[in-house]
Amino acid sequence: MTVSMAIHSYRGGTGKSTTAANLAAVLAAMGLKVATVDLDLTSPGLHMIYGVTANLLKHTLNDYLYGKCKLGNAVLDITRYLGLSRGRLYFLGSSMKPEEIAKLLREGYDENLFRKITEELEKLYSVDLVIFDTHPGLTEDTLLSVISSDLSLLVTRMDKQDITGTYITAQVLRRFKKVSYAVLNMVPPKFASIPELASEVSRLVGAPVIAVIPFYEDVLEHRSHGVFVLKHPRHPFTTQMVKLAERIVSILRG
Amino acid sequence: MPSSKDEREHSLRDQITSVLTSMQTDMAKVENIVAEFERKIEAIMNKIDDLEQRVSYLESLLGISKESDEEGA
Repeated sequence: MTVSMAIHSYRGGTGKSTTAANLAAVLAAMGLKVATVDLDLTSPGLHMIYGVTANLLKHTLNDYLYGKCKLGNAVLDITRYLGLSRGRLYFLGSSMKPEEIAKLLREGYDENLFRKITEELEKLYSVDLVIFDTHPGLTEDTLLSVISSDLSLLVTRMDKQDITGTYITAQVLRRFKKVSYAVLNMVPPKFASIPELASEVSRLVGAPVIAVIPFYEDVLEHRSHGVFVLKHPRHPFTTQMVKLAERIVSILRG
Repeated sequence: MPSSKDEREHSLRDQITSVLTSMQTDMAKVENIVAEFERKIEAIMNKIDDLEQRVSYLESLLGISKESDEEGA
């Protein structure tokens, strides 16, 4: 059965899309069938990390939403494109065109959209996992995608604004009895070495911290030019992503 | 979209709006919880700094001993 997982954050700039793209690549490399969906509908960008140009992205999620194409026409199999030799990695991108974003904001969409996407991806490609890269914050639309998912990863930095926002987000998700986990990202190396950090943040936000990822300048310098883990398989960031992927697999296997 | 009034009232969008508006979050309480967390982390950092200073001190002592050994040799 296909599981859907939202990668969410209260604020922008937490490394949510980078985490989504890299984690999906690692999970696919482990042999899983994974689909990533860019649900940051008002500011999409996941396609850039994957190096998917407008030429390749003939149809988007926006086209599917407004009946201009079938879901399968908007989904790209990027497994070989990224040079993955195992598993499968599919990508469903969103439009960056201002007129299409405006239409989406004006007209909205069916609240069952996210469940439908997961169901169709399961039917078409038998994917094990659908990863939704969401828009940050607590707006109704973005919460719809998080709450419609089976579980969520809350990506937060060690920043007072982020920590406070994650605490509030976790409180909202608890009201919906949703399973959520936290990922501490871009943690200053000095803080990352604190043994009690994960347990303290878990206690604070009320969601288990399943990864403490230090800040790596190399990831920043990479500037979304491709999937970092695939270009730098021996980098410590890749090791952290592999650990996170293994943790997710163990959660999925219950 | 749901058609009947009953269904609309129980739509997920409505539930989200209802939950968010009924939360009555006490921001002062939230700020206190986060501040307490930050104090804990700061205390741990201070402990680590203290340990690092001790290690540096011991290393410097060892360094002196090493230099003395080299001089002696």
